[in-house]
Amino acid sequence: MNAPLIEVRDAGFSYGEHAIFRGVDLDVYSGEVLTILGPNGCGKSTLLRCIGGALALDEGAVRIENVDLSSIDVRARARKIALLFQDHTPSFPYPVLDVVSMGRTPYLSAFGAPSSQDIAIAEEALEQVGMRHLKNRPYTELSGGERQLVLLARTLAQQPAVILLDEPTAHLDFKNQVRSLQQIGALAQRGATMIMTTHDPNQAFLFPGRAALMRPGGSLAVGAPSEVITDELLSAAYGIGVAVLSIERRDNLGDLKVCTPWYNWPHKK
Amino acid sequence: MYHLRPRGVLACILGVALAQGLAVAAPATRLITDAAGRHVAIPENVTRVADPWHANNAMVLMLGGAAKLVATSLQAKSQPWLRRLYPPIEAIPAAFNASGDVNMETLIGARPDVILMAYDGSLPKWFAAVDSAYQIPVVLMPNTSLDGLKTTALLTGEVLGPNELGVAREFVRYFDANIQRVLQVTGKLSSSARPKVLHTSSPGILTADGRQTVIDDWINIAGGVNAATVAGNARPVTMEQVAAWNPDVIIVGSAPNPQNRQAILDDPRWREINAVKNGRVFVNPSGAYLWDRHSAEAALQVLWAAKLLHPAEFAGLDMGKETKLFYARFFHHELSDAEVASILNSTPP
Amino acid sequence: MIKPRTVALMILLPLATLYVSLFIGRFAVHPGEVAHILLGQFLPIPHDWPRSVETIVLQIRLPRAILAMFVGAGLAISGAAFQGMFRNPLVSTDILGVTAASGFGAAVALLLSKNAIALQVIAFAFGLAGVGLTYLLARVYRATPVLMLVLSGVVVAAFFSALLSGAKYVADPESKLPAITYWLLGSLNAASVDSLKMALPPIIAGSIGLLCMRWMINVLSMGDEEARSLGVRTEWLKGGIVVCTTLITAAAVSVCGIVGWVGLVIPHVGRMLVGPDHRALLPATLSVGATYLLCIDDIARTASASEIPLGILTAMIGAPFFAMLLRKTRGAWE
Repeated sequence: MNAPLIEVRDAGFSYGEHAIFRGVDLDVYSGEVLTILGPNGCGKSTLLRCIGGALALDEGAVRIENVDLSSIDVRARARKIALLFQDHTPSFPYPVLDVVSMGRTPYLSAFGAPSSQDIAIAEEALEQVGMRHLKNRPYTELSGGERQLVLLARTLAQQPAVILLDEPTAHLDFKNQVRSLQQIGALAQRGATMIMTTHDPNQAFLFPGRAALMRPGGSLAVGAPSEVITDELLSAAYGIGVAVLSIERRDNLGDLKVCTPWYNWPHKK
Repeated sequence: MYHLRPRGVLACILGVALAQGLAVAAPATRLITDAAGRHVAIPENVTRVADPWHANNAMVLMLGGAAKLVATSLQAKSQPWLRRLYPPIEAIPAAFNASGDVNMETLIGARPDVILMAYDGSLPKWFAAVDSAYQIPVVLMPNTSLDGLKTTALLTGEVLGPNELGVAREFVRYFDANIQRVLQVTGKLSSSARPKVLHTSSPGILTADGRQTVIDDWINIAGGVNAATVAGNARPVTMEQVAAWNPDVIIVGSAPNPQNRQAILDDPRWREINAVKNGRVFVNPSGAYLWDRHSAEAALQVLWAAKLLHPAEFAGLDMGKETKLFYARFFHHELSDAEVASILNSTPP
Repeated sequence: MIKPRTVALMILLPLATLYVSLFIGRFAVHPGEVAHILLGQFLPIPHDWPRSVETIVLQIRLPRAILAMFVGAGLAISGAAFQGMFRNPLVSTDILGVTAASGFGAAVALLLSKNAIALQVIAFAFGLAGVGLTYLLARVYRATPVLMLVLSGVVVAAFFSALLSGAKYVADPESKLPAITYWLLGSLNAASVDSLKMALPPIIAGSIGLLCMRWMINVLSMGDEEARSLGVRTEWLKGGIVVCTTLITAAAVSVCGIVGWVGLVIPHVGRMLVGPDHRALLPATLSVGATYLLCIDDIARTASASEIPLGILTAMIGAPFFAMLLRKTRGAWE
């Protein structure tokens, strides 16, 4: 195996007295999509933010491309890591192209503005996510799904080593969830390295890469999705029973694995 | 039908007798008609006076009633010459401040028989409370013209008592005599011989005092014409409006001091004004109060202004001598030459 | 991005308004005379105009007009930068307390009978001190979150307002109190070449600083966390914006008192003309702000013999305009 792109060693984080997670060890390899699962409150978003440098770890360290994250400044960090937050509140009605161009900011000087080259890169990123036709639209006028794709394009414009996505499908409707996941899949096909948190275990089956199940307290079960998304592990973590089914695809592109919970209905009287 | 009970009848008779007795014991009052046309009942014998009108405190002193002052305003207490002429003012509580607010406890604690106040058409903020709730008589006096100043002097004298009224009448005679002395010369002047006079405050905020003010009155008496076409006291005006008026004489009042006068002379924006070009920029004198405002010294102001505007016609008028005479006669204070100079130049004593 | 026609308008309109301001006023001057006088400063043409007119144009009107333009431009760009930084369309330049602190400084100077230049210096110093206090109060774990800045600004402004009331309380009602009251209403009454020399450097320096940060303000307006994830040093940037706007606003208040509604309304006008991108918006607000305040000042000094305070005019015009904006946009940004 290659050396991991990102190494997390003994990571711990607390809000005041309340410890969110402790002793977390994680490796992320180049070209994989690591999906982090876990119940609400287990700290997966917090862990993601720590890996991304948005929050500072209380214990342990994160190394990316062999460099300690806490030793580099904000700009250098932004050139290595791009973050897609789930809680984005739009402010001004900037044109879509301007929003994506913001992804080039880590490469600008303190008083700089995007050059024509930067704008070309931004347009290319929009093209990749299939949103180029909307480049002059005010981005506040876009639907939730379209806005998500624009922000995804922005992370591409950053040309990072790894993209961190925090529950990217959380606020999207069914159609846009699919659209979003297909884009992420297309990026994965092109070799992008991504870490994604999600509350839907099924998403782990969609992309090449491993899954990490986070349990309260911070212990992680890491492995191939089929190893991690099992009845025993999920019921231990979520407290619910699941069944993992294999669905044959007609076009012979391999099986689609689906995980579904066992529902317990009260007995009819 | 009712029985007349003997105990009830006795109670009634006693009650009536008591009331009569109280009426007899109550202090005698007299009626004063003030500037607002009100008939105010004040004690026959006034021994305690509150004077929130800072300009009027000097008047009270001059009339000889300063010993009766029991409450005054913050500003009056800080007039340098007033403190010099009447040191006990330090101990008199300041129940009133600049914004027209009254400290009720201080005022009531001072137990004034009457309050003297200026009246320009609107009642002071504290009037309703004092008049109706605490029922302290308030005598309102005019403050927008020189004639009003004479009325103020007489009203103040009337309130304070017969001695003070006598002094007030003497003052008004003196004042009128000064005015006549001036009008004899200036009354004959044609309008072209009357210089345009601008009375302004310090350059920090450029204001002009216009028509229908005390200032307008003495400018006219002294043989000038008010350059400012605005109405009222201390109206803010622009530099270019002043340039349009182009006064022949500038008098620095309100915050009169040599530095403010110098600032006007040094300022390039004033350079082309007639008064500056001809060096006719002056500081208004100030003593127990500002001479140019509603002060007892307005009697001197008309002389000073006349001599300023028409030096040739009033060559025989010696302001130093006149000031000394006035202060000796009305403030019972002998001024040294240095003190006279400081009054005329408006520097602190 | 911006049409060349708009750029041309943004440059020409303030200059044209400046020229017009030089010949309107209560002292009648012919437009041609103004042109002659201006040219006569550079070219060797015979000086055949009265000296009094020259004083009016060059010593009284020109400094005042230039000051109005710079103050208007400065307040407008500061307001735009703050609205971007605080992500809030209702933010004005007063939010960190600079106006209240400067106002108190000016009151102190008037109480001490200082001349116009000393007053400017004192008011400016107090303005800076006020914002410094706000900034110190707002520091939480080596960061200054936006909410803390706003709250601290409210506290500091309230404090200096109270001090200001105290100053008015002890002021002599014949001279000092009207001076303070009048000053607080805002006026370019005291404009002269000296006040220009004092006020222009901080306003120019601050404006240039803000212009340099135009793109970064765009990124900052996405939120602190997002901006940091895009490589922006948010604490330095916010500090830089606060320093620049404070320089501008303290200088403006020190020279002309409290003129409100400019920093609040002009950025909205700018957005209506060129859009929300701060790369275009900040220069646009300079131009619109300059023209706007110059026109208002022309009204202030010409409409009647007694000068109308600037603050009253900007409120009378700004408030209804803002109300109209609110109705039109129904609270949304665009």
